[in-house]
Amino acid sequence: MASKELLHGTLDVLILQVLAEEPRHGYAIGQRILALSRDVLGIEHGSLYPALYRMERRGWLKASWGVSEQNRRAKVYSLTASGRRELERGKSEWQRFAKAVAWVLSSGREAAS
Amino acid sequence: MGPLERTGGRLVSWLAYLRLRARALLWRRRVEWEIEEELRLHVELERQELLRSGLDARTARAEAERRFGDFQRIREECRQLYTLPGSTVQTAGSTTSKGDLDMLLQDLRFALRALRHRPGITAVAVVTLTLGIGANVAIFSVVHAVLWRALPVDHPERIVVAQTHETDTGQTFSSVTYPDYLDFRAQTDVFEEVAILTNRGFDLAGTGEPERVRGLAVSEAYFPILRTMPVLGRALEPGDFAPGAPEAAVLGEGLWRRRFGGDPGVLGRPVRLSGRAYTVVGVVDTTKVLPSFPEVFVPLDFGSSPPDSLMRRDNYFLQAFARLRDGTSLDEARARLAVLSRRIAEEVPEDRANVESVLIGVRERLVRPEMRLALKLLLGAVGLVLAVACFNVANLLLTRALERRREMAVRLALGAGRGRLARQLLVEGLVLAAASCTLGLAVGHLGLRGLLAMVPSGVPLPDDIGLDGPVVAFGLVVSALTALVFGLVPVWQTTRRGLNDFLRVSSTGGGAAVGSRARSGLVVAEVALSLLLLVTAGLLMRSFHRLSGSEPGVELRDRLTLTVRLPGSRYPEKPQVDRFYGELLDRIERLPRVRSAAATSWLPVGGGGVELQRAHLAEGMPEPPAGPEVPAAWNVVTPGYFETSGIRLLAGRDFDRTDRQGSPPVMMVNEAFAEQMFPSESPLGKRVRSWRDEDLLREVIGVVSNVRLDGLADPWQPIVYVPARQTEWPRLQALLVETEGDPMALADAVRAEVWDLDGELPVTDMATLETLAASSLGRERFVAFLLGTFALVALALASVGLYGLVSCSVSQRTREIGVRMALGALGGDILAMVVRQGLRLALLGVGLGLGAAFVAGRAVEALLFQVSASDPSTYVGVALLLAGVALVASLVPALRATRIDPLRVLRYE
Repeated sequence: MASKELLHGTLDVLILQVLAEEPRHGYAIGQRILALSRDVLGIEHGSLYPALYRMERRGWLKASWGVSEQNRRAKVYSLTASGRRELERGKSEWQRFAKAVAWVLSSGREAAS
Repeated sequence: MGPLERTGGRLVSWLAYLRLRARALLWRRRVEWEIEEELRLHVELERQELLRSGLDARTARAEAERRFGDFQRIREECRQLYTLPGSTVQTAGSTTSKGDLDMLLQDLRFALRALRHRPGITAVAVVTLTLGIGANVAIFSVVHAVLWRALPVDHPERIVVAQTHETDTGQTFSSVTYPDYLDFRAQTDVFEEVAILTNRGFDLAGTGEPERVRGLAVSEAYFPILRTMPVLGRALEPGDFAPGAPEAAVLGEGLWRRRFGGDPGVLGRPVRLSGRAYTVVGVVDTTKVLPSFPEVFVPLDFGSSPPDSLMRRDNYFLQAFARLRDGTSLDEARARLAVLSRRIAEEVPEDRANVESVLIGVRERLVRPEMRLALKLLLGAVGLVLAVACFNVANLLLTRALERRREMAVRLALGAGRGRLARQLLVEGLVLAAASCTLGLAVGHLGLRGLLAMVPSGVPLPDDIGLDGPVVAFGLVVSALTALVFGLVPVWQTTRRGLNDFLRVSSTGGGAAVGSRARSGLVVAEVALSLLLLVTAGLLMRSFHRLSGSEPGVELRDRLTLTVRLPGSRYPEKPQVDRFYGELLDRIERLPRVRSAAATSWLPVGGGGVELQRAHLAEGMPEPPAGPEVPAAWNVVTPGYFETSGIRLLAGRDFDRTDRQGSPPVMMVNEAFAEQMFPSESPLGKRVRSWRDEDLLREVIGVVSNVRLDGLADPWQPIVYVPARQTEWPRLQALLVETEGDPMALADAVRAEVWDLDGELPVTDMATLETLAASSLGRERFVAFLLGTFALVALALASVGLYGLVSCSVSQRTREIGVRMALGALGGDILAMVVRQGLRLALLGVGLGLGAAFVAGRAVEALLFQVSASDPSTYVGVALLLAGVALVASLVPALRATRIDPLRVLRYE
C-alpha cells in the first residue's frame, strides 16, 4: 500500500540508498524501493520525479542518458560524491529518529482503560 | 569529512546547479522534451508490467496512465524545479511557471504598462532626462574632440614644441630663432627630427573667388615627424626643398573638400597662393595638429631674408617642432634644453641673458590653458545639470512608487517576493533610461549642430566634431549611471519597509510620509547643485561685464574696418604702395557720409594685422644688458589715423604730409611707452631707435592715449607708431573709416572704390569696430552664456522639485492640517508652517551649495577678469535669488493648504 505522507527527506534517503547500489532510471528506482521494502513502500509517481529533479538540482544526483532494457532512451541517475555524503547523513539521522520514536512508544505508560 | 571537503563539495554542487539552470534557460525546448521522454518511458514500463501481470492491452495502458496521475502536472512541476530560483514549489495551482527570460519579458510588459498608466510622469521624466543626456553628449563631443581625441599622427605623445621663456618677465612665446633650430637639430640623441615652420596667410586664387587661407611654411622634417599617410598623393619630399625645384604645395583635407570638391584630379593642378604659382602634390589630414589649423602647406624658404639677420639670436620668427628619440623622456629633453640655454646665455648675454628654451607636448600647445579650463568647466556644469535632472526624476519615480504602495503591499501579501517587486521597479527605471538614452543621443546630435553654429569665430575648433564612438559610449555610460540613481532610489525606499508599514500608513493616512527623508535629501542636493552652478555662472557673467566695460581706447561707434593687402608680386616697389593707399584714402574720404579714413598695419581691439613687437632704446642709452630696452608694439599708420580712430592726441602733433621719405624720421608713442621709457620727463623731441631691427633714430613728435590692441581683455601695452611713408616694412594692411551713421551701409561703396583701383584685390574681413571689440570677447561671452543657461535650467528643475515635494507633503498632511485648523490654527499659521518646511530645505541646500561654491571657485579663478572667486555680492545675490524662488515654490502649495476645509477632511475619518 502506498504511503502518501512520506516526508521529502525520507524519500530522498531511500532514493539515494537505491542509487548507491547502482545507477538506475526513475521507474527502476521505484520498483527497487518497492522490492526492498517488501512491497510496503510504493512511491507515488507524483512524488518520485519531483524528488529526483530536486535532488539533481541540489547536486546529489547526476543524470545521463542511456538506453533502457527496451532499447528506449532513458534518463539514468547516479550518485555524486555529495550525494553519497547526504546518504550517510540521512541514514544516521533517520536511525536516530527511529530510535527516539521507539523509546517513546516503548515507555510503557498507558492510560488505564 | 573535513570542512575543506565540505566546501569543495558545496562548490561542485553549486557549479552543477548553475549548469542545470543554464541548460534549462538556453535549451528550454530540449529540456522539456527530455522530461517528457523520461515520464513517457515510465508510463510505458508500467504498462508492460501490467500486461505481464495479465491485463489486456487497452486496460493495461489506461491503468498505467491513471496510476501515473496528472501527467501534465508532474511535468510542469519538474520543469519548474529546473527553472525557478530557490523557492519551494507550490503545487497549489497559482504560481506561474516561467523561465528567467519569461519573467524578464513579463517585467518588461508590466513596466511598460505602469509607465503608460501615468503618462504625465513618464513624459516629464523622459523629456527631462533626454534633455539632460543630450546636452551632456553635445558638450562632451566638443570637449573630447578638442582635448582628448587622438591626434591623427603617429605617437603624438612623442612630438614636442619648443618655446622661448623669458625669466625676467615670466612670458613664454612659441617662437625660436634660426640658430636655436640648428642647436636643437644638433641634439641628435634627444631629438629624432626637428622641423621649423612659420604661419603664412595666402590669398588663394585660380578657382573661384579669391579667398584668404591659413597656411604653414614647413621645413623638410615636418612631414616625416608626423608620419601620417596622405589622403591623396604625397606629402612634401626633400626634392621639393632643393633650390630651383618647382613650387609644391600640399592641401589640407578640409580645404580640398570645400574648395576643390574632393576631386582627385586636383593633383598636379596649379594654384596661385598670394600671386605665386604652386603645384598641388598631395592632400593630408594633419591640419589639426597645430592651433592655427593650417589649410595648406608649402616648403619653407628663406630666400628673401639676408643671411646675417637669419643667424641673429634675437630674431624669433620660427616655430620649432620635434619628435623625441625613442627612449628619451620629455624631462630628459627639457634638461638638455636647459643646459643649452645656459650655454647660449653665457655666449651672448646681451640677447639671451634671461632667456631659456622650454618644451611642451604638442597636445598642450594645441589648446590654451584658458580654453582647456573653460571646456572642462562646461563639461562639469552640464554634468551637474544632469545630476539635478536625475534627482528630479528619482523624486518623481519615488513619489509614484509610494503612491503604488498599496498595490505593492497587496502583492507582497499574496506571495510575490520582495526581490521580484524590486526587480520590476528596476526594469521600469531601465526602460526609462533606455528611451532617454536613445532620444538623448538624437537630441545631442542636433544640439551639437546648434552649439557649433553659435561658437564665436575667434575660437578655432576642429571641423569634424560629431557623435563618434567614444561620444556614444559616453552617452551610454551616462544613461546607465542616471538609471542607477533614479532606478535604485525608489526601489531602496519602497522595499526596505516591512509589509506592516505599508498597510499601516495607507490606512491611517497620517504620520511621517514614507520615503520623505530620501525625497527631502534629493531636493536639498538639487538646490545645492543649482546654487553652485548659479554662483559660477554669476562670477563669469560679472567678469564678462567688467571685460566688456573696459575702456578700449578708441571710438567704437561709426567705424568700419576692412583688410586690403597689396601682394608683393604685383606691388614690389614702395612708391606703388604709397600711391595706392594715398589715392584710395582720398577716394574714400570723398564718399558721402564718410568723415575720414586712414590705414594701418595693425587694427585695434583684436582686428589683427602684422603683430610685430620691437625693442627700443632711447638715444644715448647703451645696448642691453647694460642699458634698458623697452619692447613695444610697432604700428605703421597713415596721417590722420588717430583722428579717424578716436585715439586722443595728448602732446605734440600727428604725422602729416611733411613726414615722408627723405624728411627726418619721426615716430609717435603712446602713454604706456612714455611712462616706461621717459617716466619723469616729456618724450617730445627725444630720439628713439628700435635697435635690433631698423636701428634708425626717430624723433618722438607726439604722444597719444593708450589703446587695447588685441582685444578688450588686453592690458595697456606700449605702442610705437611710425608713418607709412617712412617705412618699408611692415606694410599697411587695413583701412579704418569713420562714417556718419551705420558703417556697414558704406561697405559696398568702399569695396567698389578698392576694386576700381585694382579689381583683383581680395577685400576681406569687413567689420565695424564695435563688432571687432565684441568678438574679441567671443570666448568669454560664449562660456558665460552657456553657463548661465545651464544654471537657469538647474534652478528651474530644482524649484520644480521643491514645489513637488512641498505639494506632496501638503497632500499627505491634509488630515493633520484639517485637525490643526479645527483646533484653532489660522490660515496664516498654516501658511507659515508649510512655507517654513520648504524654506528649511532650501536653506539647507543653499548652505551646502555655498560651501561647495567656495571650494570650487578656486578652480575657475583663471577665467575671471577683475572679479574675485569669492566675490561676496555674487554669493549673496545668488543665495537671495534661490531663497526667493524657494519661497515662491513653497507659497503655491501653502496657499492651497490654507484652503483646506477642516470639516471635509475630518469627515472621512
